[in-house]
Amino acid sequence: MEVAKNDATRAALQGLPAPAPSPTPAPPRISPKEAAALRQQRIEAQQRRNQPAAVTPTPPPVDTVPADLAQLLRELSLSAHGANLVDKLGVTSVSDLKYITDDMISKELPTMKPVERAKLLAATQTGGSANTVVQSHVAAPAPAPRLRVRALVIGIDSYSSPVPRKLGNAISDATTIHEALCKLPGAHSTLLTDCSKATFEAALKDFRDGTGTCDGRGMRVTAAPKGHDETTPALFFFAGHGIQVSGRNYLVPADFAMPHRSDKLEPMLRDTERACVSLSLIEEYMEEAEVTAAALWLDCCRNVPDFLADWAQSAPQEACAPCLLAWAPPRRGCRT
Amino acid sequence: MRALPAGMGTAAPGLPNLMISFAAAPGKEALDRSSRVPSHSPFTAALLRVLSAPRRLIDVAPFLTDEVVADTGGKQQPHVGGSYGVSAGNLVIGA
Repeated sequence: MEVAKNDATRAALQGLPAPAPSPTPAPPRISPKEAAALRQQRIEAQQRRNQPAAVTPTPPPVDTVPADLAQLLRELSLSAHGANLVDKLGVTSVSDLKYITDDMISKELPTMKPVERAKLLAATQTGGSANTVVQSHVAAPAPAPRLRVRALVIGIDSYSSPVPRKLGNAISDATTIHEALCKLPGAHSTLLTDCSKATFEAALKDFRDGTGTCDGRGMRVTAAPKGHDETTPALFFFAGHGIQVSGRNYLVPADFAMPHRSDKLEPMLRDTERACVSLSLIEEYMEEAEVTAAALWLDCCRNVPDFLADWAQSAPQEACAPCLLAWAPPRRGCRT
Repeated sequence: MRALPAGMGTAAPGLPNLMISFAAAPGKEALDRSSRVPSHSPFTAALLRVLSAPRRLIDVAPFLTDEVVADTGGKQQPHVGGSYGVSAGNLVIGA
């Protein structure tokens, strides 16, 4: 977060008071949930008027928004231009306010209808100088879009008993990639090591939703927030065992359980899916993360590994065709 | 049927703009140890080099391929699946 850059915008949108003390009482500040109830709003306004004038107004916390702005956002979301704005700025919830950047506003203002623009400006000028701030952004050339990166990085070295060989570099790979991603401007990366299938999939869900996630030891860590803009790519990196059955790719979690033998392809695939994290699931979650672009980097094998050789030999004849059940002779030091 | 799709140059609605870089070709294995950097795999060593400089998303995969093939003497060849529109492919990552 480039705090300094956004302070003016955030102040404008939240109706922060001007630095100079104003003789008129400060406008009521109500969180959007409360703002939904107009009666509650009136009661609070009355309470504020009853307060002694000597009380200095304190700046509102980040998760408050003026009632009129909340109302404006609701109105805007009903019109085509407004919906576009609300969607692009991602200000449908108050917590997303902090992701609005100056250039996002300056880019969107010209596309709005005059009446909507006037309303937005009116809503943001409660702090006195806010109007000039917003207008100056319209005139100034838009700076280059600020980059934010959302990343999920997973590395697995240690596997449960069906996988005989421990990998040496997977965690080292994931950790170094994670550290490199963290150095990117505006990046938020989550690192998981030696995680189970359940943790793996929970982390994917959390990544999609921008909520909290768990690390390999079950501890709560913060996932990348969902406050994306049109330049935010989602990155996924995996280092560990991978297998490919019938042209489908699967990533092997630390608690991999040996799939049952079968002479039919269907149960084989079902069992593999139960034991592994399927790549199609990851694709699905990354697409649903609502980012402009997603890059998946999979540092793993794409064959049937040696520890599944017996299992693969029981497979039906048609599944053994090279395009269906990819098979490569095991070699030391590979990620199968 | 080869006309340019409408909306070319912007993110086409419905296009996932997702690209998968596999460390290895279909049916092949990925090595765990790079010949250049013993503490990393060839693919990760290449990716770390990619991330060390600003690069467009669309340029990442070819760079990875060159690096990994050079590292492994052609034994391991990264593959790519998926597609980007222009605006997605032009996103820049890297420090």
